[in-house]
Amino acid sequence: MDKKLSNKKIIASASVLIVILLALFFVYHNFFPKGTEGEKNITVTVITPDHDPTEIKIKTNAEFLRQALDEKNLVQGTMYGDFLMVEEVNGIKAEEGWWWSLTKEGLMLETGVDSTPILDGDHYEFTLTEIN
Amino acid sequence: MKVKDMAVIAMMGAILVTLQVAFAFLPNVELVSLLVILSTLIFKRKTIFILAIFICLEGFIYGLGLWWINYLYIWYVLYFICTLFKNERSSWFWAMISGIYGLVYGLLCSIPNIFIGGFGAAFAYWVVGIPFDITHGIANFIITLILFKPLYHILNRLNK
Repeated sequence: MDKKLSNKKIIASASVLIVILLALFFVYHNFFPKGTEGEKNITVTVITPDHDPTEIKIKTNAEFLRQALDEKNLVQGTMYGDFLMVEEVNGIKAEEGWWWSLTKEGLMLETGVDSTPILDGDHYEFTLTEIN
Repeated sequence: MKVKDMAVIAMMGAILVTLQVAFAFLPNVELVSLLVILSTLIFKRKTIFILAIFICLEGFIYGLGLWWINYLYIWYVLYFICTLFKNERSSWFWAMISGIYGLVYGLLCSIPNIFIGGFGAAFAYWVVGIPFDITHGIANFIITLILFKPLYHILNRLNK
């Protein structure tokens, strides 16, 4: 009787696991940010406390911000899986206690460089920010 | 609380931290989930204190941040789930539970983002992390399936 109940629990939990897995695939496939094809002109401004902001214009066919930045070798960092943690922008490395904040037209982005789709006319800012 | 209980709590807290740090180089592969499951089944309510030690030590090691706010509740969610099935000893069952927990880990972590950036920010945070959650779920399932019985045997003897 106990073994039957245990088997039922295993089957039930396996069903839940499969349903959640399928749901995750569905959500990811349908809601992951999608890029657009075609040529785009975007602007990236690099802001540090010690220097005047540097504006860099990029003409690109890239669909996501990372590819556009890589075309100009603008960013370096550490890969975590498929995602880049930006540590250096335009040759300026974030020292200990500092990090590079990424914003779009002044607003914090919900995605990183790898998963931010770009559109023609977009304006991004990398701001060297002190960790409080 | 007896001295033996305090020693067990301290030891298990240290083991959790050590395992987390040891496996930190492997993204989303961790033994903490399995140890929380085993600890709940064997040490029962002492797990509440074991997790408290683990969370505090993690904060000391890595510094406080949004991830630490996640830690304050996320491991207790697993503890609560384990208490619901505290009489279950099947490796397969706990492998499923551990796998499910890994799959929903990112969803649970996104909750504080609701208060910071709204539902949109929390949803974006979760969606982008789904590949990591899938890795986490699969790793949890395999690790628990293989190690549940041997580690249960060892920790159960410690409790006697």
